[in-house]
Amino acid sequence: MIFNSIEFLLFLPIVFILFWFVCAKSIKLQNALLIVASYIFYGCWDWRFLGLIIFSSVLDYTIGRQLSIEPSINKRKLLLYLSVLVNLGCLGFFKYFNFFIDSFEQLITTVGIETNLWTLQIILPVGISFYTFQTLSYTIDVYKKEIEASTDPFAFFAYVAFFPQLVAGPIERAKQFLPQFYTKKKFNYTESIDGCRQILWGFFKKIVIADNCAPFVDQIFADPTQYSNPVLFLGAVLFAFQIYGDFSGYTDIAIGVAKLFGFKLMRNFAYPYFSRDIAEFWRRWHISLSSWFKDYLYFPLGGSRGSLQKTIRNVFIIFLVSGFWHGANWTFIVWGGLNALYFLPSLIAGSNRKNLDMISKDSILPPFSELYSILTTFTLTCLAWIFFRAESISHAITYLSNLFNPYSIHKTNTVHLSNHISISIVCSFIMVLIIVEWAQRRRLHGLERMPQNQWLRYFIYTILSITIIYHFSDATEFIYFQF
Amino acid sequence: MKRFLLYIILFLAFLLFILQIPGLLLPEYWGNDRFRAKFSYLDKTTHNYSTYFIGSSRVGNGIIPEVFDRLNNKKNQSFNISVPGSSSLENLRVLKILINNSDFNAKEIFIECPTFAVPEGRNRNSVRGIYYYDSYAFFIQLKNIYSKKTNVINKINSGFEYTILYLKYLLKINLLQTQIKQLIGFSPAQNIPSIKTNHGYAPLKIGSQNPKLIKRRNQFLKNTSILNIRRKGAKEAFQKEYSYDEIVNHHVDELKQLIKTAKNKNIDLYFMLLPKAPASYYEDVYKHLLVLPESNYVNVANPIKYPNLYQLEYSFDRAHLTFEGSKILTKALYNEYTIKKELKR
Repeated sequence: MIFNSIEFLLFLPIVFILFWFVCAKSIKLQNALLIVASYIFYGCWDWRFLGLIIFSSVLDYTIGRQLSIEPSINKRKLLLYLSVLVNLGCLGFFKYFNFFIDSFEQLITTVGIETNLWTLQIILPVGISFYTFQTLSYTIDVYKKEIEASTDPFAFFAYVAFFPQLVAGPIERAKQFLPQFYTKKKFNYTESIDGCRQILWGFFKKIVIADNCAPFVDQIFADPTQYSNPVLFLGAVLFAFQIYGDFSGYTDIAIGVAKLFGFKLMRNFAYPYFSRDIAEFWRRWHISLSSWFKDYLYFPLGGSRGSLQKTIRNVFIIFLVSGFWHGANWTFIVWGGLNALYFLPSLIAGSNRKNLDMISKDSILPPFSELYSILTTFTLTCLAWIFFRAESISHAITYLSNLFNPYSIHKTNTVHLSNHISISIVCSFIMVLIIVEWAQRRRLHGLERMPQNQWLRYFIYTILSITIIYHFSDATEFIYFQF
Repeated sequence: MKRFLLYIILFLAFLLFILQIPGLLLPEYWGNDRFRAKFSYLDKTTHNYSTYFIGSSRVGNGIIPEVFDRLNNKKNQSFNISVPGSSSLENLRVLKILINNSDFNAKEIFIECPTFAVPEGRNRNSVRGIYYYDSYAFFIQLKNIYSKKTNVINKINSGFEYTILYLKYLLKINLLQTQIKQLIGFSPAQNIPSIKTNHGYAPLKIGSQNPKLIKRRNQFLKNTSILNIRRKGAKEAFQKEYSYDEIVNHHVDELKQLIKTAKNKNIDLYFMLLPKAPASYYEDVYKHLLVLPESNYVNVANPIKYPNLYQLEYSFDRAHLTFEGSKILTKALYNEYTIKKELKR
């Protein structure tokens, strides 16, 4: 089941009513309901992979319990390795098995050895990268004695499978999220209203922005040799907004839905396209993954405590692994590497933590220097997105070479899609997104602060809802589901 | 909690109300371009039509108004308002428009006997697939599920599926864009010349240069055994003895109600059974017609009585007749009609 489907619009109120009216008496009942609802939510996509979530939950719950009573350091290490090995093993098999076989085959073919290695027809279970990282964070934290092992299987299973963030995050840390399943939930009016607003804004970003950008992006990326430089640049910009609308839209809906059930999910996006440098961008984009890698990979590697060379090495490892996390394709690795390269100058200059303050804190519009930094960062990000969107490295290179080829300017092909809204309307919606998010840049989401006048507020909700319904077509999957 | 639910419900009710406005401003057939074209023709021209034929392509490509009028010693009185691929619920909408709107001056209406079901396999995300799925259609589907002899799981699944479809209709998912385009005049009704020249009938002539028709015809000629299957199926369906258990009571009630509503407006309504449909269709509807007064249905689908209509010579494809075949069908229909008319007297 996906958020932008009628099935979900029917599913959500049913679970909401059961949660607050039928199961409100005990937290165990509430957790049990959340487990069942989450399994139905996931099972609607493919029930066969429910076994994988249940297996992962049983394994990490058992290992957590063992870790809490095991005094021997060696045995504790062994238990941790077992959890890491099994979890990453599942992830590796489903996500990377064919990639490694293909890459190995290509490598030995280039050496001149003919080979025909077998690959498997593996379906990638939706959200496997997300819930694997979430369960891993639990065992690592229990191992490090940063949290107590859970003794409540209902709470733990609900923590792993919590449907709003099961398939595309935010990747929650056990330390912050698991305790929320131990306390009985009380309905909070203000939080729920804010949740509804965030859901509405999430749908706007997904359906109106991302889904409307997608056909243009698909057309331009299908054959980049056909288009002039401005069109190719437009393609990259539209993809930047498509992926932002898609992923941050999903996150907004997830956080909003969680609020309706009294849960607080971590922030995943903080208006990343208003960043003034790449370091700031990565503090604002997919925060839950960046911080996961920082806590469980960057710091254990030594972080920035060693020499500059070591710090640079660690930064590259983080970015490359982050790229590889997104998918079994060299394009993601190059995307990660490119971001690491962008990051390097500020790291060497020691200015990577320069922009920690709010953008244009005391003014409505950014000063020219800030605007220049924002646009430069955005342009660099767009160029990196080309690798992210391309089907292969050669595809990305073709795109980039045409983008920077001065002769491409003479190409007159335009992007035209029959039965689709015009590019100018899409750009207008993007402008609305930018204006609203700029105005709300001090807030957690685009509709957090609304006008005091009730009629005006409801007018905005109505306009947004109608715009969403107007653009709603067949339920389209979220891009990040494939990761 | 109460305050939250109250606000949400009120807002959703308001939103639903707003979303219904475009639909209320548009005619009921807005989601089907061909119906729009035919109704637009009827609206824009002065005509003497009083006999209408409603149905799918089996009617649209099968009944020739001109031939019917000639046999009836009348001129330009009948009009074929059928549309290819129209579903039984869509046809019922058209029927209600013709009955309720005196501008159409309907005196006799022939409608392909409805199944009251949403067709399987139709794209239920397309405008044409859901625009007619209103409360009436939804409750009919719920009644169908209730009356079906199947297990509870299947009933729940079907109920869920039809509820989703109804929610799509209510929320105007995939529909709102088309509605607004039509409202602001961005999408005018098509002008199909054959509507005027053939009074709505669309002939299927062998030797036509239309590539789609050539493809259809060639596909049929590759394997004509389907014709025998249809003939055999129809024969068995009409020879079968149906028990009362098999009758879906609410279908009969709906048919009777339609006859009554038409009669109140001095309109004679006839349910038609046309040749070359799948056997399951005949089995589905014939048992219900047998419960109705004989004067309210015409059966020209029985291969024992009308063997010509199942012959290769008169078949354009597995489900449709050629132009020559249509002439035979129209004559057969007219003969049955005169018998029924006598019965009514």
